Amino acid sequence: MELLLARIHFAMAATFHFIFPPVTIGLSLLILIFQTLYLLKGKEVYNEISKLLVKILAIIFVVGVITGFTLSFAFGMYWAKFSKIAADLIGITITAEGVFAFFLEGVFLGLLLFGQNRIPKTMYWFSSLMVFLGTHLSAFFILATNSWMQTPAGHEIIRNAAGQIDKIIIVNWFEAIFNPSTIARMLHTTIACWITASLITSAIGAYYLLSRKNIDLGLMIFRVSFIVFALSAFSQFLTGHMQAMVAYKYQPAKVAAFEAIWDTQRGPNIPMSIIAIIDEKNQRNIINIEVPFLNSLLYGIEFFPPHFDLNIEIKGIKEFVKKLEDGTVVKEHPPVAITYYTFRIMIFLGTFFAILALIGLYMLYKNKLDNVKFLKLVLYSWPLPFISNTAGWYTAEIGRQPYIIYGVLKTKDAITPSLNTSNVLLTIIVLLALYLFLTYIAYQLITKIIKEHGNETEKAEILSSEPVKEV
Amino acid sequence: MENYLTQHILYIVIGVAFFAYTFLYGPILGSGSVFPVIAKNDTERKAILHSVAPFWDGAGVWLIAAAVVMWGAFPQSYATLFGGFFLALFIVLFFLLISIASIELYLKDEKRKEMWKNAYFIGNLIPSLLFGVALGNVIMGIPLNEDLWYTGNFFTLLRPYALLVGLLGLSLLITHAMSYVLLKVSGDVVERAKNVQKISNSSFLLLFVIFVFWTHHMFKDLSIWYWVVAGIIVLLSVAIFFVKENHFWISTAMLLFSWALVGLIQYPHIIRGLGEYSITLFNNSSSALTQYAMIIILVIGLPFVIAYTYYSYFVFRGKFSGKEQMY
Repeated sequence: MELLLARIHFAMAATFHFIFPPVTIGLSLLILIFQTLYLLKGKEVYNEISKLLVKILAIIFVVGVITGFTLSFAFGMYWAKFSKIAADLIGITITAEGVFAFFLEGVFLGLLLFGQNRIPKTMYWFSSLMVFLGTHLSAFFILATNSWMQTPAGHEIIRNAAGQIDKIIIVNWFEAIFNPSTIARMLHTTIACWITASLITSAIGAYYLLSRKNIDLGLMIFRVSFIVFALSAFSQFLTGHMQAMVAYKYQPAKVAAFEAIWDTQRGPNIPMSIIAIIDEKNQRNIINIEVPFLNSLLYGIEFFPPHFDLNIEIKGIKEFVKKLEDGTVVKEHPPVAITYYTFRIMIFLGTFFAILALIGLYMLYKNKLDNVKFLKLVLYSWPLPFISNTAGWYTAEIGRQPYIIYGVLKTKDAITPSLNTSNVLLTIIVLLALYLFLTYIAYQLITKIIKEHGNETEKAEILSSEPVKEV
Repeated sequence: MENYLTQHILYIVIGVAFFAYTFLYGPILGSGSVFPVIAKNDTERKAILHSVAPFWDGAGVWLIAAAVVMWGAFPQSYATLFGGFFLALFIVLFFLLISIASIELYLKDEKRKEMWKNAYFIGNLIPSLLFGVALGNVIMGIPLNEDLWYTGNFFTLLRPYALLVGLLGLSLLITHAMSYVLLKVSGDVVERAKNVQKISNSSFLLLFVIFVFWTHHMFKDLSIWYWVVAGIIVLLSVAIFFVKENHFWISTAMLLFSWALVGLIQYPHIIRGLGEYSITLFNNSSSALTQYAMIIILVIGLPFVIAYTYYSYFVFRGKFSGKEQMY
């Protein structure tokens, strides 16, 4: 019971947290782009846009810090055994994250928010660069930690007399940090963040164009953001494929769940399930729409390093069910249905983003940004990346169960020994209430900022014209 | 185990990080704890919030830094402390979160100003008190089993000595925060801050003397340095009554020597056990490679952190009246 609740707590805390950093990370890129354009071309509209984005960033960042703060406490509070066992790695990665990233983004964000009238233009640009660097470094170190938990490397396991894991010692920390899945995960997640933020800013542009307000600003923010969005959406297929290849090599049980393959399949003509109804109890798929050859093609081609062999083998889920001598059944594979469906949700949305990007690039090229239908499509698409981000994380994290450190430590062996059910339940309820409230306020404030932007300039114009009348 | 050097360095680093947190974030904790007393209207509240708004995040990271260095260097102490003090820490966390939210949102969320005003008060008052209570428990010792896990519960933590340290911490944080207000804020707030500081500093002095003798009564084997450092803290506290300006560096020195005093009492323990098992510098450290790596990261990173933190305080120098345009 404690275990289940601790997992629900972490799922809740992490899901909420990951609403915000993607926007922070992506916005830091866009702010850097607009500040660079402002520095190079000097047009006031670039600075206007960056001011607007900084205001939004401020609110998102606060909620991101709040939800992230919880997580840094949560490891010790709920997962004390994990914290102790994995401290050797985490000592390096999280210390580095704190020293190189948290301080950097924290201090320079203060300058970005409040400093424009106090520091020179180039220093302001430099601050936007440092915030960009800080958020991305932060992502790198935490993703390296996560990647190590997915594909551990460079370590030795120390066991106590009873044969249980006492701690894990890092013997090669370069290998541990740049473990097999770090680079693919870093690219895939970072680009997901860029997609999220650039679609939001494109939607802001679309909103201004639709409401015929701040037209110049709306056009500019739309053009730049949408190009970032399109490039990100296309390259996401490549990084997604990289991730899948890492899972194929190091986490075969996860791939079996991705594809809902129950019995091991071999050869160059393994079909890929597009959509199926999973019958987890009887270990089969009830209705299954498949594309022939596609799985052999996807897992048979590797780009980094280039490798081509369609004659592959995908292990079935049944291979990961072990029967012990005393008759107990041990499942060494993740829950299939939820991994399968979240994986599909991510991929369908990813495909939608690429199609949207194609349409949008055509519209940009043909100068058809007055097309109301297209603008509305972009405007109402803004929540979708949040769904695909969450689905992607669920695929990755549920897909490595029952392990917390893959192949090394099971999730059930990682919780705090003295954990108390009612306490955990209490924290879940209180945090959920706080998070929902803060998310609601953040949404309200951000829509207000977007809606009211430009009103001030109009007001200012009216005010400045008044003395002229008096004269 | 033989690698004593890195353990000592990281022990000091943790102390320094806690000091830096109280030094830089203390102004927020302390000013929030007396918020309704010193700020009477919107402009005055804004003045105080403006004086901390550009810095809160960078300052708050020092708490994370202290926690993660403890995690990486002395895993069992982090696991025991966070897992064991579950409910107490959750209360601290929850109130810290609403205090963080209140700084930015008081300035932005026009509809709920009243609520965020109260959040800045309660959200800082509770952690300011409970940080000290937690520290008091760690100093006097907590029940640990042979695997070094905490065996008490939430109510174990509410012992008189721990509550004394809680009040001591609160009065020190308020004293420091009032020095900050004198340095960074202008207007009617300043006079009130002076009065508050007189009260908080007096109560600090009184509680501190009790603390010193009580602690000595518990641990008879304290060295001469204990008395030297305690004496310095008393002198600094008295000096605040007499020195008219630049209190800020005096209260900063009080914080520094207070953490040094904690280090002197604790060494070589990190968490003292009430029974025969304690968590010390030497029985729960991570591998030598990790400890060296952490020190290298700190040596490379911290000079930059200090440099740009200094730059940020330089950019936002001067006093805040609450009437300035911040965005």
